[in-house]
Amino acid sequence: MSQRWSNLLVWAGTIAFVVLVSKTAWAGHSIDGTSLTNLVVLSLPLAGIIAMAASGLVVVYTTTGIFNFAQGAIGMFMAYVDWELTVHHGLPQLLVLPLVVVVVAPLLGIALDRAIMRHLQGKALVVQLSVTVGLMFAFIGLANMLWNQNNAHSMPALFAGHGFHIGQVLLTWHRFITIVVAVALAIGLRILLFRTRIGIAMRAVVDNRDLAALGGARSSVLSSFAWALGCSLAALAGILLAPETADMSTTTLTFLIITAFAAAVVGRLRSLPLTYIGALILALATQWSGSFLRFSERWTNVPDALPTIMLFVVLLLLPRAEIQFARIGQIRRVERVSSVRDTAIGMLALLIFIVVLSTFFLSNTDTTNLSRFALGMCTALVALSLVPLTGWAGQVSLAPLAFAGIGAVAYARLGGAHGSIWAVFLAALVTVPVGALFAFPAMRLQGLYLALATLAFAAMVEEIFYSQPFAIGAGERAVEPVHLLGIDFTSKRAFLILVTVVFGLCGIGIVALRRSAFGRRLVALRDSEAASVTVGVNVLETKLAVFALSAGIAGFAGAFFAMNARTLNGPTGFEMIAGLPIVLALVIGGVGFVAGALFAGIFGLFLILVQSDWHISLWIGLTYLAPGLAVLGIIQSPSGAVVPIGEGFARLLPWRHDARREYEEMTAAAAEPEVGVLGLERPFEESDVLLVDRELGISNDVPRAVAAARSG
Amino acid sequence: MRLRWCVLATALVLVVTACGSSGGSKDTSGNGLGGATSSTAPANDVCKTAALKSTEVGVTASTITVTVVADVNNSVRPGLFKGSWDGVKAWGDYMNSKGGLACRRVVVKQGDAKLSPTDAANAAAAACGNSVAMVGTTALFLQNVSAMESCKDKAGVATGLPDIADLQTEVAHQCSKISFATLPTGSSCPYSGTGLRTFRVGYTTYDYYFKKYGANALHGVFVVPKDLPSTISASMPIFRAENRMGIKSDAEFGKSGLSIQTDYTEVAQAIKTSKSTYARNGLDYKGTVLMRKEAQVQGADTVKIWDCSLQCYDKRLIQEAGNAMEGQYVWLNFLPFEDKGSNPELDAFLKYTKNPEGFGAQAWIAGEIFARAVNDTMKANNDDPNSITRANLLTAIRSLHDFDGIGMVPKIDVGRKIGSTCLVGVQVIGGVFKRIDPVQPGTFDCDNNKPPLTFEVDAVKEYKG
Repeated sequence: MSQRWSNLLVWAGTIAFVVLVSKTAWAGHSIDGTSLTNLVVLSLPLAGIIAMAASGLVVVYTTTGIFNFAQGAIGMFMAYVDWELTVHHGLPQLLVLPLVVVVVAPLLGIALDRAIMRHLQGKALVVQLSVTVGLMFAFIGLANMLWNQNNAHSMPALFAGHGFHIGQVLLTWHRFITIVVAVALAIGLRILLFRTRIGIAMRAVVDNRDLAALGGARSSVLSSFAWALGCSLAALAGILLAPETADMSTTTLTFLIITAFAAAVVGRLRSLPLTYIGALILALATQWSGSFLRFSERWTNVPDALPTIMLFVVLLLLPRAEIQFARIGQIRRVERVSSVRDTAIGMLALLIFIVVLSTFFLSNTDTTNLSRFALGMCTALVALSLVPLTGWAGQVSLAPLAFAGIGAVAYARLGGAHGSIWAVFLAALVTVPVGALFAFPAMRLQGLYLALATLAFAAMVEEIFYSQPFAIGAGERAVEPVHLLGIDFTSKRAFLILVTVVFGLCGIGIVALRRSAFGRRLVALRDSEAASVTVGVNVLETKLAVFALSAGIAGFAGAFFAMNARTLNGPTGFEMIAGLPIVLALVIGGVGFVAGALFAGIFGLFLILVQSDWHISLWIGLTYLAPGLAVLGIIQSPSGAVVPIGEGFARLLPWRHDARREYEEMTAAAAEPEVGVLGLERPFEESDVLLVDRELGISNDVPRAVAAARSG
Repeated sequence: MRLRWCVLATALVLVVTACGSSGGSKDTSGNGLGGATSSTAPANDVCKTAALKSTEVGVTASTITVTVVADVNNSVRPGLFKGSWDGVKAWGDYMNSKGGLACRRVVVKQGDAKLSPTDAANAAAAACGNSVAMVGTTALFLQNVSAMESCKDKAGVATGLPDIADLQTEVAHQCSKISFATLPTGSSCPYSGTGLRTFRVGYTTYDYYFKKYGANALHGVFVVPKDLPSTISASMPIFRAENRMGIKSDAEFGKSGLSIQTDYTEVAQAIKTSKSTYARNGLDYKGTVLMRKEAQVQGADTVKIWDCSLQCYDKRLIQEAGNAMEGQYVWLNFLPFEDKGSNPELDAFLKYTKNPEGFGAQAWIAGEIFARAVNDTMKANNDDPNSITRANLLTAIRSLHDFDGIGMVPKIDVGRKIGSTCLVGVQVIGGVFKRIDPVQPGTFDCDNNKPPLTFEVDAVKEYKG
C-alpha cells in the first residue's frame, strides 16, 4: 500500500473514531460562543505547559540526537532546588529563578554531558533510551531522598494568583507567563537553531559529528552547551509547572513529559512551532473531552489515553522520508553466540542452584523470598522476549509488560482460573497476532519512532484494554497455577522451580533460534535493512515473525506473572511505566543475550531484597540511586554486564580454550597505546603528511614545497 | 499511567467515613466514654502462676507477635503509610508499658506491601509464618488473600490469619471471613466486583448541614477519583447517597491523581455557572487542595460547604492551600487530636506517637481491638494465658460487637463488620482545625441514632465522567 493511501486510511480511521466517540459519549451540552470561548481559554494554559515540556525534548533531541526521557525529571529536580531556595530559605523568586535556570541547571547539564551523555554518542538507540530512563528514575529517587515526600512542598504561583478575565475564565498572570514563555521559546529557539552559527553547528554535530569537527565545530563544547540549554529549559518548565501541582509531587512533575511526547512528535522532534501546535491540539482535545463528552464503564479512561492515542496516530501518519535514519548511530557489535550445549549446561546449573536455594535456604513457611525469586524469574522471562526483538533485530520495544498483560488476561480467561496447562499456551497464542500487527507500523517506523509507538501502545493497553469486560472489567480475576502431570504448583517452591525450568527451556530455544538461519536474518536486519533486502531477506516477513515471537514469549511470561500474583485487578503490575525498568535492566545485563534477561530478573530481585531486608539507610538510598549507578554501568559496558562477566567466567572452564585465547588477544590489544583519529583526536603533523604521501605515491617535492611556503 | 494508589486510599477512606451501621451502634449519649472496651493486661497474679508456653505461631512463652503490613517503601511515595507502622509500634510500646498482653511482651513486626499486589501477598504470607495476627493493615493492593485465609496454625489446621485492618480496598479483602476493620466500609458482602451492591450511608454529616443551611439549600459539584474501578466504586455510592438525601448534583467530574490545578478550572467554572453551594472531592487531600485553590483563583465563592472526609484531616491540607482552605469541613471517625486531654486513650496515643496522623490513629485502634480480642479470649478460658490461638482470637473478634477504644472511637461492631454513624466534624478556621460538631471535646455526634440510608447501586455504571 502506498504512503498516500495508508495515510488516507489512518486519517479516515482517526476521523471516524473521533466522530463515533463524540457521538456515543456526547454529554448533551450546547455548543455556543461562550462554551467555545471557554474551551479555548481553558486549553491555553494546558497547551503552554505541554509546549514548555515538549520544547525541551525537541531542543535536546535536535542538538544532541538523544531523546531524553529524563527531561521531566530534571525539571522536577530543578523545581525542588528552586523551592528549597525560595520557600525553605526565603530568598526572592526574582533572584532564584534566574539563578536556577541560568546557572544551576546549565551546570547540571554540563555535568551530565561530561559524565554520561557524550559517552552515548554512536551507541545503540536502546542503550541511549535506557540511560535516560535510568536517569529519570535516579532523579526521582534523589528528590525523594532529599525532600521527604510526606512533608508539604507547595510552590506559590507568580503574582499570587492574580490575572485577567477572558470571557468567564480568569487567566492568571502565572499561566499567561507560561503561555508567553512557551511561544517566545518556540520563536527564540527556532532562531537559535536555524539562524545562528552555534545552533547550526549543534545540529551539524548531530548529523555528522566527524564532518562537523572537520568544519571547525568543537563537538564537545557544543554538546555541553546543548545539554546546558536542555537542562535550562527543563528547569524553566519544572518551575512554571510546580505551582500547578498541589504538593510538587515528584511523579506528577516527572511524568507530564510523557504527555508532551505527542506534541513533540507533531513537531517531528525538530520543529518548535509545530510542537506548539501539537500541544494546542492536545490541550483542545483534552478540554473538549472534559467539557462536552462523558465516558463511563469500559471507556472511563479514554480521556487519560488521549495523549498516547494522539502520539500513536501521529506516528502512523509520519511520512517514511521524515524518519531520520542518519540520526540513529550504529555500534559495532561483536557478540559471541553461545552454543546450545553451553546454554543447556548453564540452565541446568541455574536449575540446580534454584532447587538447592529453595530447598535449603528459602523458608517454605514464610514464602516471601520464594515468591520474590519467582517474580524475578517471571521478569527474566519477560525480558527474554526482548532479546530476539531488540537485541538481535534492533527493533526497540518499550512495551514488554503490555504483551505480558495481554497474556495474563488471556490466561485468566481461557482456563487459568482452574490452572489449565492449555491456558498457558493459549495466552502465548493470543498475544502472537497482537505482536505481529506491530510489524506493519514497524515497516514504516524505525528507531526512536518505533520505540515511541510501542510506548504509546503500552499506555493505550493500560488505559483501555484491562477495563473491557472481556478482559478484566471493573472487578478482579482470580487465577491458579497450572496443574501439570499431577504436580501441584500451588506451593511457592514448586512454582519457582517451574518458572526456572520454563525460563531455561525458553532460553535454550532462543539460543538455538539465534544460531539458525532465522537468527542470522534478524542480525542482518539490525545491521542494515537495506543490505538485508539486497541479499534476499523478506523484511516484512522477518519483522512479522520476530514481533510475533517476542509477543508470544511475553504473553507466555504474562501467564506466569498471573500465576504468581494469583489475582488480576486492572492493569496493576503491567503498567507502561513498570515496563521501562525491565528494558533498563535488560540493557544493563546485555540486550542481545539470554544471560542478560536472567540478569534483568536478578537485578530486580536484588533491589527488592536490598530495600526490604537490609534496613540500613545507605542500602535503602542505594535502591533509589541504583538506576543512576546502572547508567554508569551501561556506559562502561554498553554490550551488557554479562559480556565481561561471561568472558571472565569462560576462561575458567577447561574446555573454553577460545575464551582464554580471546582474553590474551584483548589484553595485548589493550596494552597498545591509543592511536586516536588523525586530525580529530591528534594533530596532523609533518610525519603524518610524509606517511600519507608515501602511501599515495606523491612526490616528496610537494611537502618540501609546502614547508618552504610555510617558512617563506 | 496514573497514580492509582494516590487516590485509592482516600476514596476508601471517604466510604468508611460516610458509611455507617444499621443499628449496631447503641451510643445514644454521644459520649464515647464508658464503652465496653478494656485493653488492660490480665491481673499480674495470673501471670505469676501460669506456666507460659508457645501456643500458636507468633506466640512464645515470652512474646506475642503481630505484623503490621502497610505500603511504606516505594519509589513513588516513600513512607506513604508509615503512620500505620508507627501507630501499631506505639500501641505495642503502650501495651508493654502496661505489662504486655497475655502475660507476654508484645512484638510488632513490620511488613512492607510497597504498593504492589505481590509484595502485599508476600507480606501477608510472611506474617502467616511468624505472627499470630495482622494488625493495622494498610495495603492498597491486597488483592490476594488466599495466603491469609489458608494460613495454617501451629497444629497444621488452615484456621486463617486474623487481620484487623486500617484499610480494606479490595473486595476480596473486604469480604474475607478472617479480615475485620477499624472502619468497616458499609458495603455488602459477598460481592462479585461488578453489578449492584448494597451500601449504608449515615445521615450525620448531612443532617448537620441541613440544620445549618436548610433542607433544600444544597446543590453542588462532585469530583470522582476515576483512576481505578475500585476508586469509582468507593466514591460514587457516597455521592448517590448525598443525592438521595437532598443534595442535588449540578455537575460531576472525573479527575485523576495526576491532575493539575488547571484541570480544576472547569470545576470552578461549573460552580460559578450553577452557583453551587456544595462541593466535594473524592480524591486524596491534594485533590481538595487543587480544587480549593482554583476555585479561589476563579472567584467561585458561592459554595457554603466544602466537604471532605478523613483524608483531609492532614496538616498538609492547610500548609499547601493556605487561606484558600478556610471553611473546609472534615468529618472524622475518631476523636480529633485537638481533643488532647479529654480522653485517656487519645492521650496515650498522642504520648506514644511522635507524628500523629489519621492512619496512625486507626492503626492504634486496630491494636486495641486485637488487645481486646486477646483479653476476651483469656476471659472465655478462665484467664488462661495459654489459650491464645488464632482460632480463639477469630472467635473473640467475631463476638466483638461493642468496641469503642475507651471512647476514642464510637462503638463499632467489629465482628459483624458494621461501623458507626457517629462522627466528629472539624472545620478549618483561622488556619487550624477546629471542632464544630459536637462542640464538646471527647464526644461524637450520633445523629440521635438515626438509621443509615440503605440502598443499592452499581457504582461503576453510575459514573459518567
